Amino acid sequence: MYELTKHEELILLAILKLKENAYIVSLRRHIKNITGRSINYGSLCNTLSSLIRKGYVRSKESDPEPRQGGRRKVLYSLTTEGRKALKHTYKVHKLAWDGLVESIIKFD
Amino acid sequence: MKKTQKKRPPCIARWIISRLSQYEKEHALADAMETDYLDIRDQHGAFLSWIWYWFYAIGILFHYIKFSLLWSMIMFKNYLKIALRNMRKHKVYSFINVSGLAVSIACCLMILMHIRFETSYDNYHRDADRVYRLGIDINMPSFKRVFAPVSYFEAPYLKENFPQVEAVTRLWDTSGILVRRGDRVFYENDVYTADNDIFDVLTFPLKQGDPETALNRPGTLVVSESVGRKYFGNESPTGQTIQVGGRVCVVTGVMADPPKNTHLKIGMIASMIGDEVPEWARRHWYLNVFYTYVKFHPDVDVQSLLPKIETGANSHKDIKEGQKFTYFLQPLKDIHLFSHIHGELAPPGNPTYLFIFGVIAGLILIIAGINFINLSTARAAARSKEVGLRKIVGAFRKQLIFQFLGESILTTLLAVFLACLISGVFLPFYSHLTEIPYSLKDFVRLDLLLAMIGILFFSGIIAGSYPAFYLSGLRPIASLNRRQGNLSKRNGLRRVLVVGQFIVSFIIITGAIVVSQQIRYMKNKNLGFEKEQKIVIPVRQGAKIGENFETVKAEFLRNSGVTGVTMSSGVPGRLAEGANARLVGEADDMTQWMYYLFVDTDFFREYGITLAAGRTFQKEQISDSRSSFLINEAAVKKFGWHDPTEALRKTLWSGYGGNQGEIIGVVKDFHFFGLQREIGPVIMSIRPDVFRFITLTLSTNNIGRTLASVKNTWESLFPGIPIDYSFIDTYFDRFYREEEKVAALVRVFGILAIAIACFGILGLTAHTTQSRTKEIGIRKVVGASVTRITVLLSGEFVKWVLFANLIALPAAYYILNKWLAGFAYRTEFSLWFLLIPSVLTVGFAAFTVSYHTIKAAAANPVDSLRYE
Repeated sequence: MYELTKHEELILLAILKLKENAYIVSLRRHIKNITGRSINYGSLCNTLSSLIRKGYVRSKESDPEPRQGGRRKVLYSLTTEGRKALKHTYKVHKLAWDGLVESIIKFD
Repeated sequence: MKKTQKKRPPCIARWIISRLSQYEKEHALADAMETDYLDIRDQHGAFLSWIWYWFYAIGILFHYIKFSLLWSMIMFKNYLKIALRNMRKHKVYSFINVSGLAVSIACCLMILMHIRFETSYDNYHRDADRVYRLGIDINMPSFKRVFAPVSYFEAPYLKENFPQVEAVTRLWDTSGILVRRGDRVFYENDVYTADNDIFDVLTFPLKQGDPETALNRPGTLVVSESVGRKYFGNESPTGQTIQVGGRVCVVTGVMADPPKNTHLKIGMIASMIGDEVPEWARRHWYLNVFYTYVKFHPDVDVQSLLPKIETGANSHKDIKEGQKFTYFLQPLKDIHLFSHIHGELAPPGNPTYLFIFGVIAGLILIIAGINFINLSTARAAARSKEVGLRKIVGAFRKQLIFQFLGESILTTLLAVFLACLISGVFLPFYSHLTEIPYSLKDFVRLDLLLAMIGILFFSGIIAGSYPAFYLSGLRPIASLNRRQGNLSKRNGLRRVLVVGQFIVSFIIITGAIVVSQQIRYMKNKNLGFEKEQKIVIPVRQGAKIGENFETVKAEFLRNSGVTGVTMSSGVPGRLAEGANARLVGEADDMTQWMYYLFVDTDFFREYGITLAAGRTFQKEQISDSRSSFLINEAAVKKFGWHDPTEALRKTLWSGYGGNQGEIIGVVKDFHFFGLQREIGPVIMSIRPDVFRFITLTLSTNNIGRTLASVKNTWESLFPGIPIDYSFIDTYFDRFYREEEKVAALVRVFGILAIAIACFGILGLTAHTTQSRTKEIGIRKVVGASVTRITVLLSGEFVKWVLFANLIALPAAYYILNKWLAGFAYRTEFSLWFLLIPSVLTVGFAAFTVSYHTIKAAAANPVDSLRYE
């Protein structure tokens, strides 16, 4: 059972893309860049929490910035489960889209 | 640095985000948003970023209110509903819990008030920590005594030689002086003569007059408001004249009445300037009658100053070998409770009694608390199902703990409210009992409120902790299981607590009995003289008897109701000071300190004091009036004789008048003070010029008429001087007032303690009989009789109570023997003192237990077994 919502999928992909620098600020910016719409922190955090609960994402607190009162940063990375879920989603997408890409582009 | 500080987001908003956001912990939201905030600021300017940030913060705030607060409110409502439902459903338990706690909290409150009053003495003086009273400890071979007052000279000496002293004042107690203004003539108590500096040392705010100058001139006087009203009515006292002890004084000031909690209950202060203090009192450094209060500058190490004061002051005295004069300073605030020395101006408080009351209050609270714990643990079993269900539908353990603790705090809260009501209602009664005029205003004080809140949370949390922590930790399957036997069997703790309760009740009841017995003993003991039907009239200023005492006696005897008259320098209960005495021919250091009593020839007959050896004074013997002495048995012992007859015909030198005389007889000991004190040695002789008291023996019939005619006789003898008389037995009973107060309080506490304890087992038996309903039913079906079942059910509780008695017996015996040891003459500690409380506690316990057990035993087994 590796069903993912669109939102979850987007976030998982973003984490994968950002690699070592995946934390909420960068995630939010990245998603805004690719979708053109900014999502708010509430829904981002909410989805992240549920991903962590499902075991697709693990979070790790980075060392605080090396200055006084430096900020905390929580970094995210995918677990193997997460990767499996993405793989599964991709497979479903591919099957669903199979042979349809051209017909859609035609309409443009 | 400044730049970075400026760039920080608005701090309130940041606080909201970091505290109230549910994501803060998991995702470090606040820090992330701060980064974002700074970027937005750089791109779009401060205002937009500020709006953006606040927008988020307010969103989070609303979210928080909506989800966390709202839900906790809903849960709270549910908890409250369940708690109230439980209370209503189990009326007996709730009643026992709330009323027991309320009564004990009310007890605590009242005792706290008492303790606070007693410890607040003289707190109200400005800079009270810097004010001390100078006292002296005189230690000579013949005379040892610790005096509160010192001589006339210490005060000026301190003022001149010690720059550390800010102000110092002397007070001379002239209480009992005759004060006259027009037709208002009274013997006025609480009259003092003092230096004007009294207003610098102690705080007596003047309503009229100037504290700088009020007592600066001879013949000036400051009166308190109530005394002013007594003599001047509604007129303003200032500037008026009043006659104090034969001197005419001008009132130069009116001070506010001193509060109740002071040892200096001053009604009038006369100026010490001029010849107000007679010459004899100012003659030397040895006469200790001046209460000297010193105020030091701040930060003066007073105790290190003391040796200097002592050597300086002692250099003015002629100190012989073996004599020692030690000065000491008592902090003003400690005088009431911790100073029990000669010449105290007010009866001192007793810290031991305060301690005992505090302990009793604590114990009663503990007894009620134990009930609370017992009943809530007993009932916890019944609620395990609720716990299980709550857990299954998703309650956290934290929530359950909160629920149960909250429930018990709610019960205590109810109890506290009830306690306030109870103590409000009983306050007048309590004031009467303790002779301290409390008002409802004394209630509303921060410390009492704090104490109440403390009691509230303490007992609430303790009582609620078992169900809260134990039950909430159960696995839901276990608590939902139909068999609850494993829970209700855990009553080891309950057993210990019940035993503890009854130990405490036992000790308090024994205490009440012993104290009452001791008072009865003291009141009924043969004092060695006749105290019935006697009135004593003190003869004070203005009224002189002197050599014509025989005519005065004859005048009084003309009243038909008066059967005897005698005159003396002192009467039992009011014995004048003593002086030295020694046998002629013995060395100086064999001098003994003795009480002196100067009597007329009728004294011993009238008072019924009997002889141990020799003879009493006789009118016919002229030598008796000069140079004969009688002594009491205590004096015989003091001189080192074994038999009264040894004393006869010995020649004695008396330090009182410096005369010599022969001992003509020895009287049996009689008590001239309360039975707390041992009988001291007394020397008696005839000396009419110091007669201070007239004792009249009255016939029993129509005392009212006799008193009226005695008054008439007095008025014709001493016109214009008020008569002041008292019955000697009532006067003597005043010595036991402190003990009577204690007895009354302990009696009340004893009743409360056992009542609350019995309440507790009433609740417990109700619970056990209920949980054993089926067992009882089966027993009855197979043939057990009602009696057997009652005995079976009650036996357990009675066994515990008996066990408690066993433990309490030696404890009570030890404590009360110690208390009795404080009395010179005390009642025997009889077995009854321990037997009565045993019977009482067991009896009451059996009685309360039987209510439920008999009911359960008599029930029809069909009803109890029906559901099986």
